[in-house]
Amino acid sequence: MMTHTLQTPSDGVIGDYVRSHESFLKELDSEQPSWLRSIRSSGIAHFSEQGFPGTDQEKWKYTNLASLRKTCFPPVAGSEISEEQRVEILSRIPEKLEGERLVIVDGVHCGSLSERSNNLKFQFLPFSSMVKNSDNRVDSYLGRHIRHDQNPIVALNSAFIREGVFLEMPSGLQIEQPLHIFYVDTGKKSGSAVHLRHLFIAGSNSRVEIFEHYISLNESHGFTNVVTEVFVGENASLEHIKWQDQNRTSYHISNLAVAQESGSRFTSHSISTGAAISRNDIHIKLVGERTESFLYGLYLGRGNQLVDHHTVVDHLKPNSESEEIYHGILCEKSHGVFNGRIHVHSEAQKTNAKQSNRNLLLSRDSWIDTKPELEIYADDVRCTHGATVGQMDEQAVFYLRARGIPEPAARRILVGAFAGEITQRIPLASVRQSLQSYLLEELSRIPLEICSR
Amino acid sequence: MSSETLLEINKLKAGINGQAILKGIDLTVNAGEVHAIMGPNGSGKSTLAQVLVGREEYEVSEGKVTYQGKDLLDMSVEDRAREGVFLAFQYPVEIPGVNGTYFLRAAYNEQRKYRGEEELDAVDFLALVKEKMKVLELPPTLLQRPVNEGFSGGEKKRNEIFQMAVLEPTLAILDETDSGLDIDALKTVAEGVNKLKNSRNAQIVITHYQRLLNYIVPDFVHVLYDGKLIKSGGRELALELEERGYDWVVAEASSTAALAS
Repeated sequence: MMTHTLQTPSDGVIGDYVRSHESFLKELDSEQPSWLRSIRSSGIAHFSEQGFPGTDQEKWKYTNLASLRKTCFPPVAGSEISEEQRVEILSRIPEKLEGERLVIVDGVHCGSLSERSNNLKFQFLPFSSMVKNSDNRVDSYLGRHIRHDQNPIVALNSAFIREGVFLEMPSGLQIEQPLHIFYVDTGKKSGSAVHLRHLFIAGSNSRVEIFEHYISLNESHGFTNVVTEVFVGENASLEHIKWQDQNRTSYHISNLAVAQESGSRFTSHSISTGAAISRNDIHIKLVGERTESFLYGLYLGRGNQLVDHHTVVDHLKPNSESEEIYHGILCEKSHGVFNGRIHVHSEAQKTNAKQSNRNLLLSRDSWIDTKPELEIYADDVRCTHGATVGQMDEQAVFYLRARGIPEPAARRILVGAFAGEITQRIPLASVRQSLQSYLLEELSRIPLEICSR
Repeated sequence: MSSETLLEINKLKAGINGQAILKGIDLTVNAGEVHAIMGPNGSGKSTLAQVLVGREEYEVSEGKVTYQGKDLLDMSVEDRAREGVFLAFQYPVEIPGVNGTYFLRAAYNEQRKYRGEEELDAVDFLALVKEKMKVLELPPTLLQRPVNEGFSGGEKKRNEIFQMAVLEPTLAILDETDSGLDIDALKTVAEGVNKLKNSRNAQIVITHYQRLLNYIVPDFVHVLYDGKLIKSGGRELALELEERGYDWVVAEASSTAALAS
């Protein structure tokens, strides 16, 4: 006779998440608005039904979340920071980066570290304060372009939704100063999770630049789950720079969904240098005509890091242009994954889509899985794509050495230049410089002279 | 002899992947001299240039190269450059993302550091570069671009000579600098090289054709054939080679060899 073990939601890690969710809800203020309550409960329902994705799913074929799946990461709800930590946090802000700043520490907005002016002509607020003030604008946008019934990690984010940044640019407002969102993991509660939910809405003809920066203060073992929804209105321009530099024992999973109206421009710079396992999903829907989208990415892997980028550009309407350039630098035993999909729907005539992914493998044990995916249902389009995997150009190394530049410096110059082709596109000088000096320092630590195959 | 000996090559034998290419080269180059090395394809001209600058793929099996009294073959690639040995590449390498000025300043300062001199800052270096650009009639945009990236053949060669002008080598080796140049570009490059010539430095001009030597006038012409210098002479030898080809030199050399054995 066979015995059956029934897998109920209360079993195992999923069950732990369900219980963790119950206590999360209890801890929350009782005046939880009903719309938020329903998002949270449907989030946990979908997550417990689906669980974490496994490598049997095509989208997760190369990124194994087994270690993340092993234990439950309960939500962390803010930390008191010491004077020492405050100094360190401030020191990590790129020099000369001025403007509005929202700092989130261990999942909770930290007012004392943020920089906020009065009488702003636009909304730039922590999610939590909007909920507290019964500001329900969030509700009308939340989940419009990213649905948690199809993505268990987004569902998990919805279940524990609590903090994030709400940005709303009124029509016609163009601001010069960038907006800075700074996320700090103090590592105080190792083994815990932070689920951030951002909403960026750029009204028609508005213009804004956003710099999102993720760091950790020490080597704790945390899970950061970010879901960002972006709405770019007609003829608006939104430039998004994300630098994920969390510690290399943590997990970082991010889902960015963008909808672009006619004549709009969206630029994404995705820089991944941190986390043990990081996964960035970017999904751009070109719902209007004559849009422009630029996706730039740079990933640096060393140690045992796994860096995964999955991007989708959905060309739904005619006359739009998209350009995607991702560069990967993989050292030691790191593993990179790049999957770039361009989907040109039948209506999207005169689409011009370009995609390129270039990878430098700087050790015998480094690895990259790169895959372009083109799906084209319109006949009058221009689509190009290319992926390269290679080692350092030894002819170039020799050329530099033959001019007197020492070999290690020559190799650093070349890797730096490869990274520079992406970093130089970052419009904020302070961020660009801070990133470039970071890369230079990191590259000086890696023994590049023995990296050639 | 009044002038200083810069380079002395003795019985140099070298090859690649076990295949012998240079089969015993002897050559002495003094300060103030221009030597042309000519020869048909595959005779070993470029190998000689590569061995002198230290390309690791080539193995030196025998012989000695003394440069300014030092064992050249014992020096690293970088040190040869810092000691003033310069190769104008036959195929200059494109280096995307590396700004031309940045690259050249790094190279220039490496040499200064090596000589114990103070490094030049960006402002002073730019002044130096502007002066040298005028001499070579180069478009200033050339250096704002990444090194050689998207350059035409002529631009690449001019950029090599420009680097030579900035780095002021003691021994410059020009490897097929004329290949791929039209006559105007050739003249500009040659004029640049001539302006850099002085009594303390020397140039080795490697070429397949005589035409470059109309503009860079050599003191000595050597014929390299099958890994050996089989004939040396003055400028007139180059003209004779142009007219009669290489066969007669080869024939002459083999009969001399036959007589000797």
